[in-house]
Amino acid sequence: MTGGTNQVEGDIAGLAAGLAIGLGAIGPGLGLGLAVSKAMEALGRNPEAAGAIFVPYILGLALTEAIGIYALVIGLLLLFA
Amino acid sequence: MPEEEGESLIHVAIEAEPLFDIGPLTFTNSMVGALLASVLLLLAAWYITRRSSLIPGRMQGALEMPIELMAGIISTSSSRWRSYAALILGFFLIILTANWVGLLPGVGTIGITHIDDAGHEAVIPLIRPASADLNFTLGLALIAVIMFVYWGIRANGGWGYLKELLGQPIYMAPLMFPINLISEFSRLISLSMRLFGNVFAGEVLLATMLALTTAVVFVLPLAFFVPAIFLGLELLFGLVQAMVFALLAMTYISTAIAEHHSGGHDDNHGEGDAAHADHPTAADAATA
Amino acid sequence: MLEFFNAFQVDLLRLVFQVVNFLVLLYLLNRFLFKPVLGRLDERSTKISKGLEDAETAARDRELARAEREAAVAEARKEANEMISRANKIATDTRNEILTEARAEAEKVSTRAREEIVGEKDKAMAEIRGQVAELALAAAGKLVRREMDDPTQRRLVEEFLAEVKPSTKPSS
Repeated sequence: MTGGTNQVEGDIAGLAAGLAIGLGAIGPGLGLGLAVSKAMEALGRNPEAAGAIFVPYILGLALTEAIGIYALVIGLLLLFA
Repeated sequence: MPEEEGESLIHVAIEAEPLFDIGPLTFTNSMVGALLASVLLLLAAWYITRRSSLIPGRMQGALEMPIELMAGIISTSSSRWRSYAALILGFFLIILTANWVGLLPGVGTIGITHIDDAGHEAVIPLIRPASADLNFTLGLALIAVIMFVYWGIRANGGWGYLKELLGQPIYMAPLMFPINLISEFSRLISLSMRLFGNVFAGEVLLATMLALTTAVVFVLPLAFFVPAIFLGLELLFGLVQAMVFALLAMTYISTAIAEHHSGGHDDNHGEGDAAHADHPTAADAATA
Repeated sequence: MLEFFNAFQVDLLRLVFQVVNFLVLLYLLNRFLFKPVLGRLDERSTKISKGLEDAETAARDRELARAEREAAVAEARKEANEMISRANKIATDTRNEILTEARAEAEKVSTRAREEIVGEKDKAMAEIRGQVAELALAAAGKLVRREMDDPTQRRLVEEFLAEVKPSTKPSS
């Protein structure tokens, strides 16, 4: 991509990066949605448990989201490395 | 190149850009961001402790609120929370400030004009949010990993820690050892990349939104509100990411300390407990 | 792996700079912010718990005082009731005593009066009888024109009067 040594490779890298983040976001998106829905359900059933749910909830979201971040990293690597 | 022209409007560099050299050290704009965040934090600390009263005023209350919030969560994590409270609070505060520094007006836009190698004119921002630089996040993650490994070793001894890495049934060790080693290492990568990716993606998102709206703002003046919405969203994400990093570090460290607790009572039983306690966290890290 | 880090411009010196920056900041914050603030949080929470405790003891004390007061009031009321009943009893007793005494006195007075009356009457009767006897004697002497010796006359008259007495008695 740099210096224009191989124009085609740069274009394919862009496509690959887009695909990586696009496909890679599906899984975490579904996972985050599931996690949030379950957390809200739990909160609706037992509002007093909000404090107890909070930390595991955030940690679970972070661990799920990490997969999306890996996809982002791959995309960035494809674009810039 | 055609894409260069698009990028001139949406300019977010993936790495911190060098400003000047001090000896062998190249001073980058993310270092300015880190220093700015530190200075802001120290100023806030000075403000809080200047007139330290038991009944806080409005300003003092607002500044103490994140500390109290975090301290409240930390104090429920384990019985020995005092030993790592300062580290976790430090993680939380520096990341929070570094994230929010990136949202200040002028940060990322005010910079030095610079002609790059290809002859294009580019602006090097003077300040870059420190958490959008992998050096910063990797440094913090390194400290976190070193601390929880240190506590793990102090809890179970060097051999005990190694035995934990080898896994519970010893014949599975050739398989489990690399997995556990990778899981420990992946904590480092996932901690640092998560923070970096989120903040960097936020920066790109804000720049993109700003570029899009500046293109249409002459037609639709209300379009200026669009980046404002995303700015508010980034404010929330900055807090959440600071919390995520601090809470993950806290969980790693508190489990390492909790192993020490059970190991202290009864050696044989305690080690079995520790191995059991480690399995969920190892599994967590492996999926992360 | 090195390439991976190179792509993100990870540089050892920059990394060390960030780590040192963080550690210095952590030291300063810990020294000047966390210790006092965490200490203050502890202090505040202990103060709050102490306040709650104080409130609890105050409530307990109040409850105790209330019970004591109630007991005292009940005691006083009981005593007062007792006193009143005792006073009532004393009053009725005295009244009865006075009444019986008065009745006895009245009885005594009336009997004495009756006795006196009877005595007076008897005296008057005797006097009258004497005078009547003398008058009768005088009248009889005048009638017979003859003086009888006193003792026989007198015996005669008295015999007569003794005969007359039953007929005269109901008239008195």
